[in-house]
Amino acid sequence: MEIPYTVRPRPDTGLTNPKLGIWLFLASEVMLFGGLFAGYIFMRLGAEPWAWPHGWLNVPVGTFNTFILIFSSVTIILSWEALKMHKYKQYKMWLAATWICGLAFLGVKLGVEWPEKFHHFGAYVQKDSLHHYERYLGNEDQIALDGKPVLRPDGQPELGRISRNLSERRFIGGHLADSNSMKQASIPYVPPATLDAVIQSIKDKQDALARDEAKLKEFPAKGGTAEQDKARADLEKSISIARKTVASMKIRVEDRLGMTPADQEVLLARDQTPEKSAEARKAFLTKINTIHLHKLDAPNASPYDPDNDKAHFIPRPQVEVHDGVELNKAYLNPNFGALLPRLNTYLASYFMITGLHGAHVLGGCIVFIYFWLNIKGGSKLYHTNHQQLCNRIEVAGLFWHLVDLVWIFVFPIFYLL
Amino acid sequence: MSEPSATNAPAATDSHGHEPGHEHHGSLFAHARPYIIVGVMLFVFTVITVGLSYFDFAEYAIFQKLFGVIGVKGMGINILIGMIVATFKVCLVGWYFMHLKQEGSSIWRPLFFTFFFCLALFLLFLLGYADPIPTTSHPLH
Repeated sequence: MEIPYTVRPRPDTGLTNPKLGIWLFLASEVMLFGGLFAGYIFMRLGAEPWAWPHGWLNVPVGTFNTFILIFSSVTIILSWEALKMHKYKQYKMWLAATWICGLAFLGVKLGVEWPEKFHHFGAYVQKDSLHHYERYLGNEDQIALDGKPVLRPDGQPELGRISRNLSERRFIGGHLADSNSMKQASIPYVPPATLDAVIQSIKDKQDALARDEAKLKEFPAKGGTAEQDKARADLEKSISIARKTVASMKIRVEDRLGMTPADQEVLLARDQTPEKSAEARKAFLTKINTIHLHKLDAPNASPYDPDNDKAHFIPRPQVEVHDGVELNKAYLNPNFGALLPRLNTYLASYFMITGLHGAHVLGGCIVFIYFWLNIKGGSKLYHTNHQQLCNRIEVAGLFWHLVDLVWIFVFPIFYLL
Repeated sequence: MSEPSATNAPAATDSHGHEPGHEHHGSLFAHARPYIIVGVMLFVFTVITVGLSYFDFAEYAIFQKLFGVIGVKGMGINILIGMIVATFKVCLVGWYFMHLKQEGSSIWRPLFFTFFFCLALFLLFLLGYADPIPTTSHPLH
């Protein structure tokens, strides 16, 4: 069936059907993104000052992407104009420029911006543990070991954020030392009681399995009475289930508690003295509950430097810390780890909105490439139904402008304000 | 595909009055000049947006007074100014690139409703933020 009014305007609306359709779709898109922006602003207004980060995103990269999208908005218009003027080569060239810009935008997002966050570690210190990391937070006035205030080069005391009427700082960010993997660093704090309970439950299962295996050895060989054979089969079945249970428990503790097979061997060993057992337990808890950073974000490396309170166009480089920094997971809010949506509401909103926008960019690129190719529904239409191709490019262009329009709000809201 | 119907027959002339199949002379850039100017303006306003974000409006008494009238202060002044610039850029895109300046009521009418629905979305959230029902008010922490 042929869709009517794809070439000529419908008399009652004065528009072709696709054009009216795309405008209704764009109207729904405006409400979709409008709702998301409204939600973001609501959370931004309701957040406590220390909780909302500023300057986490790479502004030069964001600015570059903004230029790319604006440029592509111009190229799609040029493509449409060239098509209207029957300049086929120019139409193809500007259309290609548009989808190349779209793919470049996605390339920057997926190749530079997002991976930066996947390799960056961040954590919020719990309110009652801030004093442990004061030297990286700079909230209190700086006091030397002799109890006297630390003085700046100009002779004035080094004042902390509270004295300077700035919001408290609770975030520590940086790069993990090589001894830590992001997976291990993201495992939640393991309290000693939890570890004991886990070890005991595996040991109990292993003991029950050992008892059943010993019992099986006492059974007469197969070919006894029917009752004996049935009891033997039942025991074999229960042993098989118990083995699987123990194996799956070990996989689970490796996954959730970071207890590697080597750790398990030491922690579950039977023939060791209570002292050695306590030592192994302590070593494991220290290993799993400590995060080692070898680089710190500039605000944590120099927390008293007023320059770190300002926004910077070029991101301030991370600072390598001699001997590294050790963070105890017990003192951190439990959602620490890479800069992923679970870390805070800001990142959740950022990934949600930029991800949805990126999906729109990808959709636009696919449509443009389809129109660009010399196929039946694409550029071949130039020779068979020129006006229909013009309408197609116009409708796809309207969608592309909306993508640009959404980014015009995303850029200042997330990157700058 | 079936033969083109009367409603879909290739147009004898396009909306610019050009005859199909005819290679047009004249520069594309001369024809598309307004779009290029708007594109350049968008570039410039992007630079302005970035620049303004490093300027603390709240430090200046004139901006404090000006925005204090509508209850906006501190970082809120920067946010509001940033949003005004972004809205201006969006208007440029809509008016010129999306040809809203030459569209009729078939498009303006649904957009009108969209605007009010969007406004309602923002107002609902702001209503939640303001928490105006006394018996339900509670501190965040």
